[in-house]
Amino acid sequence: MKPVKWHACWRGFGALLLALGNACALAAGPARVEDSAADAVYDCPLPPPEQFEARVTQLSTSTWDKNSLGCAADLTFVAADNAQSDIGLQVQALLATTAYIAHVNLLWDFDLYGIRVPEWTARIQHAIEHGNVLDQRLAAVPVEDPDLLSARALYRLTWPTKVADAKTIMIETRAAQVLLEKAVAKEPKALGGNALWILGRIFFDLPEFAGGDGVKAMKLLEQAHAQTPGNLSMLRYSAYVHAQDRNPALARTRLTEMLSVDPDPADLQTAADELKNARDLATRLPDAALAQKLTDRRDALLQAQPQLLARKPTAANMHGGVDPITGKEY
Amino acid sequence: MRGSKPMTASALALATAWISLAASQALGATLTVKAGESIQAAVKRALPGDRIEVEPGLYKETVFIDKDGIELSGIVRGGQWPVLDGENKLNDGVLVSGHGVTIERLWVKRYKGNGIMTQGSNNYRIAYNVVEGPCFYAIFPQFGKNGLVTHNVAFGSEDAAIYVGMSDNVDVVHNQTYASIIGIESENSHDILIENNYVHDNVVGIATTMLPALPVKSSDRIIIRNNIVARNNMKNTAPPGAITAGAPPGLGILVLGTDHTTVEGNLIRDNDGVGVMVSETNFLVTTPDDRMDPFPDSTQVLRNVFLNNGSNPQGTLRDLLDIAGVERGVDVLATGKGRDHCIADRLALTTLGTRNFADCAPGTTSAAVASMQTAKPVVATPFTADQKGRLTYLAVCTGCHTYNSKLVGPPMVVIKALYGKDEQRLADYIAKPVRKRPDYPEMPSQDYLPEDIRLAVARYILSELSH
Ligand code: HEC
Repeated sequence: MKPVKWHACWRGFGALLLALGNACALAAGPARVEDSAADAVYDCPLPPPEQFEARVTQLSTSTWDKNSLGCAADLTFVAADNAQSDIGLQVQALLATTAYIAHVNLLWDFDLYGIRVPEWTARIQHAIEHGNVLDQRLAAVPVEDPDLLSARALYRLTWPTKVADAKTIMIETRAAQVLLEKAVAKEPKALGGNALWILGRIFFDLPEFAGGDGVKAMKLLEQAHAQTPGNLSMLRYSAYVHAQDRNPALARTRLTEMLSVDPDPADLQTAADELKNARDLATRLPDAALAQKLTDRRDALLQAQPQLLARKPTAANMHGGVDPITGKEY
Repeated sequence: MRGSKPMTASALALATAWISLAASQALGATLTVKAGESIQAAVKRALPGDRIEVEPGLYKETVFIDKDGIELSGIVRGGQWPVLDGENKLNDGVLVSGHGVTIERLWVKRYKGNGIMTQGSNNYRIAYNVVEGPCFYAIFPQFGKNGLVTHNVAFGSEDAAIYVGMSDNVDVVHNQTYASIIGIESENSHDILIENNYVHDNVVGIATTMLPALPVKSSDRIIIRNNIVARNNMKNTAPPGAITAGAPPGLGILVLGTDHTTVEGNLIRDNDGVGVMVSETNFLVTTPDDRMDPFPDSTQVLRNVFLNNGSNPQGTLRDLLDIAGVERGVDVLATGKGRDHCIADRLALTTLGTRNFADCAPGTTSAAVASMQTAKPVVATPFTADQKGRLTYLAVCTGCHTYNSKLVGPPMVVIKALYGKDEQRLADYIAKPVRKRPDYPEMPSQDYLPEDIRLAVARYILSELSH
């Protein structure tokens, strides 16, 4: 099996109520929404075979660009379709599809009033068509490979977030939990160490009445930290959980550790996003000096890589934009 | 906090000019607007502290008040009201940015954005109005301190009917709200009293929320008391993607990520899903914002009357109950997050997810708080031109324009490209918009905005606004 990479930060299983509302409302008729479905279409020519791999790598590492990620997912799907017995390729294609959906989910998150919902839904629906085919193929594979299991878990966590009802989201989350538990039992470092902390995140995010367990979550996160200490998403999420656990000192430690992690060149967007989240969390602790260091680091990254998304929310419907009193971003 | 009578006009006066303004109010002129005349013209003539009386009749305009101490007061005669009608074309009914303003006894209907909005105004009073949709927010005080919203009837909102946004020290009392996505909402606000309201037949009755991506990063000390919260079972028809599209039908009271929220003495009945729900913000809204704490802390569910809630859960609440393996809805549903919650009368209630709720100490009550308004008017510094530009852009233009998408009007990036640095031309256009694009509706004139404000908005758009 080829080595697999994973370039998407799963944003949590929340949004379930939001998602359902959207599904209902879409049927409700005219609203203040841009008719943007046409923007979900992107150009994605099939490269000649000798350039295929390089092209996919270039596209899938352009993690700031929805069209590149969409095309990377499409191309790997075609390749996987042409070599259905290549399990590694199926896994890679499913991860690429998941990374693309996660990216669109996050764009939707920052579109607080859902002004471009037609575009986001069209993109996600297109990706789900491929994702479901790949997932079914992998479900039929008799070997229990940790990366395969983790990839299927991530897909289950990601596809429904914005487009399915609450029940589906919960059911898929639990299915993901089972898959991840199997994966980390076989290989605690599955998916480059991501499987473990994401499992912790599931336990933290699930409500009490649906199997959530904060204590278990904390254990898994600490285990993930001991095992793969240089993962920006894990560090930031652990800090968030420690802050909620009223342990600001440990939260500060995790955020400080982020300062010495070099961004993964294959996923610069996640690095920029996590540095922003970390800065925001440091501001809340509050630790202004640490927040400044994280800001400086992120600014340097954005300056060196101006194509990265800055994730500014736009003002719409009397909300968002800059602080009208100070004129500053927040 | 004060416990006495409602604010008088003079108590509303601008604190920085306390003496002189009180004096001028004592002598304050009364201007009368008759049917067929323009309310805005009277506002233009009025001096700070004047009273404007509006006779019964039909008024098709937006009223913009940026003077302090104005009392805009409708005269209802023989059942005939002064009616402001936006005809589903105008965005705002009454828009206030002056301090110490009173808006009362107006029937405001069919404004696409806001029926009555105050922005950055302190020491305001919104009373005895009827605000009818369809609209986004019927009554929407935003960015203000020390206000009273009382005896209003508000219905037909695509979002919250009464929406207290990023405000401090506000009483929302004795109102009726219905047929809206949310009956009454307090968003990212502090020291809010929601009391003695009749909130019925909405999607969600009352919500206190801590929402992401807004400049205020906390929400604390909110009392929801002695309200009737009934039959909030309306179908959710929020526009696609709208933040309220996730409001789950059948919910009486939602506590979303706010701290020190007290729910006491309410009659909560016939809400088909759940009586009271307590959850973290990101359970409903996932926009990343680590600057705020999304978890609700110190919620107190004190003595309330719960009757026949949860008899027919639908949609999202049904899904959640299914996952928990519960047939019927419950009086109190929590996701189990946050700290230091308590619940009284536990044995009388049906609950789910409340393991981390302690029993409230016997006798716990919020009764000592009679009002959240401040004892004296708060200091109200005049806004700079820059602030006025940004506030007006947010309050008015974002109802129809966003930065890089088509909403009702074209995206602001396009407008910036068209106008370059020509602020005057932009300010002139919005006063007298002409039809330019066949595939768009007409932009309503914004000539109620005085020249200096139009220029301030233009300057903000052309020099500051970016993405
Ligand atoms: C009720 C909806 C609405 C509101 C509120 C609104 N606009 Fe517009 N605006 C429109 C529409 C619709 C158009 C397109 C009109 C056309 O092209 O015929 C438009 C067009 C414009 C244009 C384009 C002019 C051109 O030369 O092409 C400018 C500038 C503009 N608006 C500025 C503003 C500003 C500034 C505000 C806030 C003070 C604002 N608008 C508030 C609906 C609105």
